[in-house]
Amino acid sequence: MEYDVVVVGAGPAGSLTARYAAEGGATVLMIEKRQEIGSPVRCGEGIARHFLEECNIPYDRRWVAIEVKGAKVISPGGKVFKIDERHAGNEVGIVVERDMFDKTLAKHAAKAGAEIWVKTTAFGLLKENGKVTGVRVGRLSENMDIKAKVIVGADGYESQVGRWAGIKTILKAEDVTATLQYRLTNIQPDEDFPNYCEFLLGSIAPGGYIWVFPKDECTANVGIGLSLDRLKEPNEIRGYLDRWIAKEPRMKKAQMLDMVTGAVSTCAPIDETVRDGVALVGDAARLVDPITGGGIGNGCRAGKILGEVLGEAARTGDWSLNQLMKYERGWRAILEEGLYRNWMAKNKLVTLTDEEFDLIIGTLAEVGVEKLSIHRILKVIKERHPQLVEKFLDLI
Amino acid sequence: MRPKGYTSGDDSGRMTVEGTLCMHCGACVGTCPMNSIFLYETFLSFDEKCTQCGMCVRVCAVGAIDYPQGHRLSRRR
Repeated sequence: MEYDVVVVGAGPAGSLTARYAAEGGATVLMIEKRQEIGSPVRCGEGIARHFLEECNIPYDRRWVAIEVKGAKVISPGGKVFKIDERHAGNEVGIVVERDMFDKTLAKHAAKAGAEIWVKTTAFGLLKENGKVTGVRVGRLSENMDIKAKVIVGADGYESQVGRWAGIKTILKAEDVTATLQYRLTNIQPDEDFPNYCEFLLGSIAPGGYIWVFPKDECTANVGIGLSLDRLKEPNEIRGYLDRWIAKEPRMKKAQMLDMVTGAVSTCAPIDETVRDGVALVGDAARLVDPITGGGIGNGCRAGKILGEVLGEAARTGDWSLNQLMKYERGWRAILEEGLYRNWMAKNKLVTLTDEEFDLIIGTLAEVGVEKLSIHRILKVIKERHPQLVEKFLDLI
Repeated sequence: MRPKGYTSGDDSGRMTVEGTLCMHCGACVGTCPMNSIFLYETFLSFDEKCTQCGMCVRVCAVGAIDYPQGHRLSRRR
């Protein structure tokens, strides 16, 4: 059995890669280990609008839960900084139904000509003289070796493809954010709910934040991300989230519709995402935004680039590492600088005290910032509280 | 390959997994610095590379992973 490209993992990054590779002329197989694409949902489900157009993903009400006006960033002392969705960065604008979103993107891949297998797990890479030449998979009760010109690791945070290929994707504890989320319903709305995605900062979530992303007029994804280096005890993360919910008046009568666990990387861009015969994309390539923990937009954008590079390879017959390097350079050109800057900023943010968060968010609320960029925020803070930005001076 | 002889809460000898708590999210798999953990659909296994460093124990939000019985850090009695 042989394909030009085998994509491991049918999340957004995998489906975009499969779609563009197939559109470009490559023969593509996409495999998914679970029995259903998009399910179970493991995501806060907030996305921005801007990348949809860039990636030719037509807006479709079926995967939209709700559209929000913007983001509310809330300090420990209750200072609130509101920002319009257009300027709120990568994870605010639409709260999606991830199961439908992922299925829609897989449909696009299928329409472009990609083959899709579910309940198919990758066991390891086939290699010849250091070059990856295929993948060993288990599909239902059958094990088989599939030859391919390129194996794409779109296998998420827990990526195996990269590790099998020898690509360094290992994370330090401080660059891992452990997450837990409940979908709560029967939430008592306030004047802004469900019109804003909320981000709550401070010691309620050490090295991370609590999010409230509305799904409908009384339902929201309420989750927490904590830096792994702050966690000492098992089950500690649940304590943090449960304590916050217990104190939140709106959630007094809230009930759980589902529960999601997981982790995201919050690291600097890794040194390499391609090797001879293999490429990583999405969370597997550690493309998650180190500040927000969001990965869908970056995964889709990188997936499109990788798919186009693979399509070109199919047309020219050039499957060399040189050709794959076009993807490496392509994603770095649009994402690397921002990822690196946000990783630097994250390392400072995790050192802030509750009082400092109050001061910073209070200042932003008073002054108003039209665009939520680290650079812009620091300039505003510097004018009002120069002592506060000392920690951040190297970022300005 | 498909791990053999697994039952809920089975002891791999290095770490234990409570299969009824595990949400199959892969947080431990991606966090493991030794790449010792493999998630076969919903089926978690540890191999001999495990050093019992405990990062998987801390990252798991539902407490599904523990040290083996008898280990000084084990929560099992």
